[in-house]
Amino acid sequence: MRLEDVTAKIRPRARWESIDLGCAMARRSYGTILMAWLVCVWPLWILGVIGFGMISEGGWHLWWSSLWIWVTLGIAGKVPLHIISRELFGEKVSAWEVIKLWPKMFFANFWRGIFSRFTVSRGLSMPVSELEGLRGSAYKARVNLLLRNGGDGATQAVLVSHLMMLVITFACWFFLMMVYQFYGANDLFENFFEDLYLHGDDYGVSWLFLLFYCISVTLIEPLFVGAGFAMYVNSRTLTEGWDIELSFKRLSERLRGNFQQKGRGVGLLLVCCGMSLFVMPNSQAQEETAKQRVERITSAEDYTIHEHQEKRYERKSSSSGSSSSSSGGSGPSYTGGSGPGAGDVFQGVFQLMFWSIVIVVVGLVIWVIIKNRHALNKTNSLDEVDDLPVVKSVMGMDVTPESLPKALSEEAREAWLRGDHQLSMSLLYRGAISWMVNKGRVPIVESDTENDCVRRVNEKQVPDDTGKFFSHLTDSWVGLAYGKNLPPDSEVMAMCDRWPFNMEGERK
Amino acid sequence: MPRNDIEVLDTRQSVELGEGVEIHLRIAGPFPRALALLLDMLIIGATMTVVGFIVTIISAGSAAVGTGILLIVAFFMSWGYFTYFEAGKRGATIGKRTLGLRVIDRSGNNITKGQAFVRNILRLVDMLPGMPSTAAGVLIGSFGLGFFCCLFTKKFQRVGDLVANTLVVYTQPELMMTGQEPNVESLAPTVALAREEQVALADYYSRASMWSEARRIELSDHASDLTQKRGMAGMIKLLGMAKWIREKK
Repeated sequence: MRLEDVTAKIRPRARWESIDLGCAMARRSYGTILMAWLVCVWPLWILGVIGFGMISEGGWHLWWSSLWIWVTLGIAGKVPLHIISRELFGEKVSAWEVIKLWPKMFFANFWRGIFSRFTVSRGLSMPVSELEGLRGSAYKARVNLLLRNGGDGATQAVLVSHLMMLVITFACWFFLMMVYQFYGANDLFENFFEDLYLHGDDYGVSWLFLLFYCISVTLIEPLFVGAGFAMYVNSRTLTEGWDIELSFKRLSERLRGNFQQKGRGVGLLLVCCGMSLFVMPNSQAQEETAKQRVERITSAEDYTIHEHQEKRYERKSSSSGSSSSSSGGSGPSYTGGSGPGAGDVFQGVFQLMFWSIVIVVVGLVIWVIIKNRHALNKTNSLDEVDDLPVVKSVMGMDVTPESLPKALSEEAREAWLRGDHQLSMSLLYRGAISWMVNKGRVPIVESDTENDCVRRVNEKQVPDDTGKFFSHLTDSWVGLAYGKNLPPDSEVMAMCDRWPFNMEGERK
Repeated sequence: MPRNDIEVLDTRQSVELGEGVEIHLRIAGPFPRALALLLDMLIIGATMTVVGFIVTIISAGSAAVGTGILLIVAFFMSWGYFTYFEAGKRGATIGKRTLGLRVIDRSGNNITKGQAFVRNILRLVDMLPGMPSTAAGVLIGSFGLGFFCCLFTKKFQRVGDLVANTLVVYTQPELMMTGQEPNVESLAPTVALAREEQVALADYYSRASMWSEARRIELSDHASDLTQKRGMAGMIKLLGMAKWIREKK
């Protein structure tokens, strides 16, 4: 058994949690266990039933057979235990291997297995006799110790596993009933019992339930054994610190691995050096450069020490009130002639890097401030925005300056006099919006309505007369467009006369 | 033969939430849940018996009214008991609370009323194979399906849990073993230790008094690569390091 190969997380667990781990372990090898059980245990039961049939009959036959099956369970439990315990320590056991071992397993600790049926701590004590091979007083002492430490779940595990067997037994019965009913029986209970009593002897139902019991034991015993084994592992974890042992072993492995890896690295380096001796004819020269390099590095290290000491020197000088500047950084007694140039070069590079970083950071900060200056200036924030995208159409109308005639007011006047009132007013309104968007920098967007435009124009605080003109124009336009209310001729003429929204020139 | 392809089992299972968050839940298996269910069944049975007595005494005149009341109570007990308690603040029926269990959402939150309803309406499915009993007006189920579903799903979920996306977990904090603390000088470890290794050392320190002297030394010898010493000296050194880690935490 190698604790390192363990395939479950070992740590101190509460009672029910250790039982859960046992269930999980049993589930993992459930198929193997069932296969081995069918081949090893069922023949044993069948042989027993046939054997007792020869020496007894009727009720006695049933009674002896039941007892046989009940008692041999103490030995049959070795099958799942063998598989689960080996699987826990990373060893895959096939059903065939268990079958081959079965005769030996059956007779080993035979009487203890039989008698363990009469104790409630069977799940916990079985690993002691089977896996540790303890006998006599050592066995008793061990089991007592286990029961004291974390083994308090053994009794409850027995209780619950019996409950589960009951569940499976009834599940079998109900299932049979369902199948039976499916094939046409009308009254479930009556027909079932009638048939049983007619076609079997008086113990038909009892034999049937014995079969159900065997099925339920087959299905539940692996869980019970798994739970007992997990409690055993948990108990030993508590009393012997298995989890700690495992962690310490892994820690040691890691530490040793570190050293080994270092050792391997050195070895590889040595091999490479050796090879280079053979391959390169001027290896002597290479070695020379290597030495020089080493010297350079050493001098650099010297420099580091030097800088550290320099700080002490500085502090001392400042505390003594001297005004000596330390920009040169060469403390009088510490430079000591070792690596004269290297220190300066490093310092130069370092300073260059430092100032580059400072410049980049300052530049970044300035750029961010410029980019987000509108956020800093909260008042009239929208007014300041010059880079608002200029909309090309508002309310489905083209408002680009190119789409409008140069002498807009004149064309509008002509259209009005021609009687094309709609065209005239739409020209005026489009022109006004176009001016607001392109010249007045009013943040009008494509989805704005007429009222939105008026609101935005007022918010923007365009010159008062322009604003009033725009709102008056809007009223007239809305009246015509939606209400078919023609504005008076004089009013339109006045608007054309006073037209303030000339694109390329000054306002009139 | 040893192998590496096998998964390492643990009762503390990780559940991955959205955004790469992982939580660890200690999910309860079929054994404690079966016992909790048994307790709940006994409670329901006892309540029904008491109600039956009271109703019989009160409705001495008309048996039909008594039967009616009894059937209504039976209906609410069989459908409402689990839902009511699991949708409550503690998320557990009386049986579950006794066993230190509670029902939670897969994300670790309390379950909603809807989830409680769904997982308990599906109790009917988990009870299969069963047999409708006209006398009691309920399905007498064996819980066979629920049991096997609970056993064979990784997170021990029955059908109702799978559909409602719920889990049954332990409420008590994890088992912490502590004994009398040894009296040693604290000492900084010579190498950097991983988190698990620090935990192991701290555990060794707090549980040291539970083992015999020989076992303590045996354990510390396993870490002799850390202490560079064996035997009693190694043990004292290791305990010192453990104390240092505990003090620094």
